[in-house]
Order: sequence, then C-alpha cells, then structure tokens
Amino acid sequence: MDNILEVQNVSKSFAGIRACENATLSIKRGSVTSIIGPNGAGKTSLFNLISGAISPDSGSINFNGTEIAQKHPHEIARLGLVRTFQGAKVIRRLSVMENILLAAQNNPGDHLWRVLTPRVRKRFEDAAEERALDLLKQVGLESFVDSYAGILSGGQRKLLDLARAMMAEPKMLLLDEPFAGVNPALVEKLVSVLQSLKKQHDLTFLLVEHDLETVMNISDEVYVMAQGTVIANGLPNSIYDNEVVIDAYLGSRRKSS
Amino acid sequence: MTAFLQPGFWVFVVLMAGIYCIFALGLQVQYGLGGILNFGHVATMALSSYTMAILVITYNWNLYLACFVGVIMAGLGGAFLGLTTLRLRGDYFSIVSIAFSEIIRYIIHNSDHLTGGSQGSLNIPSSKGYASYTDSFNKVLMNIQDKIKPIVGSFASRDMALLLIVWLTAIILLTIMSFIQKTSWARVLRATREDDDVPASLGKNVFLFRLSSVIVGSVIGGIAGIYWALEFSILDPADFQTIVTFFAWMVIILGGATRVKGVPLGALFFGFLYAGTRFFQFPPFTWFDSVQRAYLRIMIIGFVLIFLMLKRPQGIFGKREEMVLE
Ligand SMILES: Nc1ncnc2c1ncn2[C@@H]1O[C@H](COP(=O)(O)OP(=O)(O)OP(=O)(O)O)[C@@H](O)[C@H]1O
Ligand SMILES: [Mg+2]
Repeated sequence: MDNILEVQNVSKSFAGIRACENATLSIKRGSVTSIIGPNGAGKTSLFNLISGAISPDSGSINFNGTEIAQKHPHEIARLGLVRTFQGAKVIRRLSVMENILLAAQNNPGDHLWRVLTPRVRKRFEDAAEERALDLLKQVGLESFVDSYAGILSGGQRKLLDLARAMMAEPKMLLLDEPFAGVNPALVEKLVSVLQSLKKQHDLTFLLVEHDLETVMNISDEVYVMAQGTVIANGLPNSIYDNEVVIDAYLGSRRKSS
Repeated sequence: MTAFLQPGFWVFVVLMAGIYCIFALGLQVQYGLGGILNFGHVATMALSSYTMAILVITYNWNLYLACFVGVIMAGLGGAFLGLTTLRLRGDYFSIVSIAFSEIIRYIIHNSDHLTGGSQGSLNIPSSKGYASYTDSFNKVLMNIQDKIKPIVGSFASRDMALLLIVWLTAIILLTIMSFIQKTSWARVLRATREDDDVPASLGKNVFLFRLSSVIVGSVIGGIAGIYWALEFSILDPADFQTIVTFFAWMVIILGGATRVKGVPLGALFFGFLYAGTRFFQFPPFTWFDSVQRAYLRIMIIGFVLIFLMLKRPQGIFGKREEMVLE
C-alpha cells in the first residue's frame, strides 16, 4: 500500500509556544489512522497545518503526490483533502441544505457571470441537492433540511459537519474529535456510517479522538502526540502497551484497568 | 411651505430616492451578502461622476462612452480598495474604506488643473470655453419630456424624465441582483459573513468572493454617481463627503439589510424622511436657524432609525429569525 499523505519534520511555534515540533507521519491510502494525545499536544495544530489554515515554519507535507505545505486551504481542499473542525463549525444563518451545498465542488454558480446561464446552474444545483439529501439521510438529519443550521444541537452540528465534508468529494478526510459529545448509540452509528462511506468512496481517514475504545476499534494505525511531537506510532494494540504512551497520555486509567 | 405643495418638489424627492436606491444597492451587495462594512462607498460616486465629467468637458468624449468609462473607473476604485485591504480583518477594512473615500475627495479637491478643485466641475479645463457635461443629455431629457407630457401633464419636467430613467435602471439592477442572490456565489458570500474557515476548507477562495462583491457594489455605486452628476449638472467635491455613504447605510438599514427588495422601500422612506423634515417650519423647530435646522434633520432621521432598531431591528423587510440565531 502506498502513502496518500506524508508529513515530514513539520514544526510550528506561536510566539514561543511550540505547537508542533518535527512532526512526521505517513498515512496509508485507504486506512483509518488516529491521533491521540493529551490536551494541548498539538493535534488540532497539526490538522491546521495539513489543511493549510496555518503554514508551517519548516518541514514538508505531501498529499497524493503534491507538495501542499505552502498552499492555501481552498487549494488543498480542491485536491481532495477535506477537514472538519473541533467542535463542529456550521454556518448558523444558512439552512442545513445550504450548508451542505456549500461543499459542492466545481459549482458553476460560484462564478458571477453564470447568473446569465440559469439552466446550467439549475441542473448542477438539482443534482447537488439530490446528493446532499442522500448524505443527510445517511446521518439522519433529513428532517432538518430547511431549518437554519443555528438551531441544531451540538451533536447534530457534528453530523452536519461530517455530511458537508463528504459532500466535497474528499479523497481523504481529517476529522477533529468526531465523536466528542455524541451519545454512545450515535457513535456506533457514526462509525458504521464512516465505514460504509469509506468502502463506497475509497476514502482515507485521519482522525483526532479521545474516545480510546472507538479509536482502538476502528484504527489501522495510531499516532500518539505529546508536547507537539509524535512520541509513538504503530498498531492499536502495540500503542496500548507502550510505556511512554502510558506515562504521557493513558495514565492511571490504563494502569488500573 | 409652498414647496410642500408643488409637484416638482416631490418629483425631485422621488428622483433622489431612485439615485439613493441604486447607490445603496451597491452597499447591499457587499453588506447584505458578505457582511462587508464598506464606509467609503461614496468614493464610487465621486470616481464615476468626475471621470465622466472630465472626459466630456476636457476631452470632448461622447457622453455615453464617458459614462461607461466612469462606471468602469468606479469598479477599478473598488478593486483597488479590495485588493489592498480586503485581506485584513473586517473592522480594518471599514476604517481603511473611510480613509479611501476621503483621500479620493481630497485628490479631487486639490487637483485644480484636472477636476476644477474646490470650484468643482464648473472649473474643469475645457476647450469650448464653458464647462458643461450635460448638453447632449439634456436633449434626450427634453425628448422624453415631450413624449410624457400627454400622459403626466403638469408633472412633465426634466426631473420627471430623469426620474423615469433612474427608476427604470433601479428596477433592472434590482432584478439582476435578486437573481444573483439565488446563485451559489451569493450563498458562499453569506457563509463568509459568519466564518471564513468553513468555506475555505470546502475549496472556496474567500478573498475572491469578497473582492468580486466589492467590485460589483462599486460598479453599481458608480452608476448612481453618473445619475447624480446628470441631475445636478455641477459637481463639487463637497457633494462626496462620508455622510453620503451613511445615507446609503440608512437606506439599507431601513429596508432590512439582507433583502434586495427592502432597498427601494428604504430609499423612498429615507427620501421622504429627509425631504419631509425640511418642512418642520413650526415651533420648536423655528427656534433654530436654518443651518442648525439642517443638522436637526439628520438628528431626527437618527432618532427614527433608533426607534426602528428597537421596534424592528431586522428592518422593514428583513427576517427576524436570522437575527436571533447566535
Ligand atoms: N493560533 C494559536 N496561537 C497561539 N497558540 C496556539 C494557537 N493554536 C494553538 N496554539 C497552542 O498550541 C498548543 C497545541 O494546541 P492544539 O489546539 O493543537 O492542541 P490539541 O492537541 O488539539 O488539544 P485538545 O485535545 O485540547 O484539542 C496549545 O498550547 C495552544 O495554546
Ligand atoms: Mg484539538
């Protein structure tokens, strides 16, 4: 299996705080990889670096054969590397449907002059709406299609965020704590949704997650971060038994169990 | 009090409301969609009207070509403002936009050889010996005036003819804008009003969307500037002070900023309010002299706005639910 994403020696500091230091990761195409680590370890910062929201001080990031370390977020998204946000960001004053439609790629209506070709726009929108509705059904939000996204609960916003990311036709998804604040039954459902999406679309997942049980269940590989660096990586089981990881992250919870 | 009863006065009021409607529509594209707070919008009027006047008076250009280039100039002004400043955070853009329009005004004020300086378009250098840019347009208006005389009778006047042209333009622009509101271009802009990261993470170049909305808004503002120039026949740098931008803001706040159809109503409402307060020629208003009263008018409009904000914060036509979503 080849690697779809190669992060090499990426570093980033904010006014003295080292959010990321020499982070190196290789993500296999078609795999599910999780990043775990204590609060403030630099997991979200790493996502921001990969997705272009912040640019690294040094290091290289290669996605699917393209160097992306200095690219803008929208350019990276167009390459098929799409992220969600910790805590889920929805556009509150757009409807749920409009939120998802934002993600439709190559929308002719994004170009102002296309106001002159209403038919081309409509054909595209109709097809996009159909796909959006299908995604909304998969995450169980179909009854909220025309509601403002601002009325959704925290968990529902996560579902919308996920469906919206899928709408962008990603090759790879970066999910920042997709299960945090989601009820256990829904976590189970989400996992099965993710797995079926993965099969349907040949997706690669990289996720940050604190829910260890789920992480151990779904991951092909786990990276552990602490204080901005990757301190260990490997198969889920090997991570669970790694002394360094137990000290840095798993702590007494692991020891007592 | 006599003006109150003259139809000509009210024709003038509706005409000016039409010009403000177009002018404010240019702001609505920026604020109503993208939440862009442009406080230098008046610069677009100054750019288009002065460009047009100079081309016609100094260089003997054809009026319509000059109008077209004037509008392009307003668009270029918007592009310049956007390219230099839109990458900054929203509030910085607002501050710079005020400075931008003031700089344009000072340049006009101080370029005597080109713009006529403080004496305005009367003093624009001309080969013909007198400075007027409305000669050929007046003929058109005369023509229209003759044609509408059988229909509107005593209302037929130069202003009435221009009123028809202005409101026709306004209706066309409003129609185009309401179509544009339904495109995904507008949807992306409405998203950027709340958050840049989400649209960017989905492949949208947020900067380009903002820039294009400022350019479109500036072009529309430029059109208003042309009509302004044609109505008054004389331009003066003092016509383009920041207060004019805020009149347009009043129009869209009155109408409900997120709705295109609110703009013409806001403009008419503002027009009548602004003109109507002129007739406060009874106590306590007569306690003040005319200069003080001019300020009083603006204060009264301010009070009406505050009252409206308390009672109907979404404007006459806005959607209340959109405002209460946190
Ligand atoms: N924009 C920023 N400016 C300054 N410091 C930042 C910025 N972004 C992140 N940091 C710092 O970088 C460190 C890593 O933060 P990050 O958000 O990546 O942690 P995390 O691993 O995602 O933690 P959590 O599990 O709590 O979400 C923190 O100390 C944080 O304060
Ligand atoms: Mg985080």
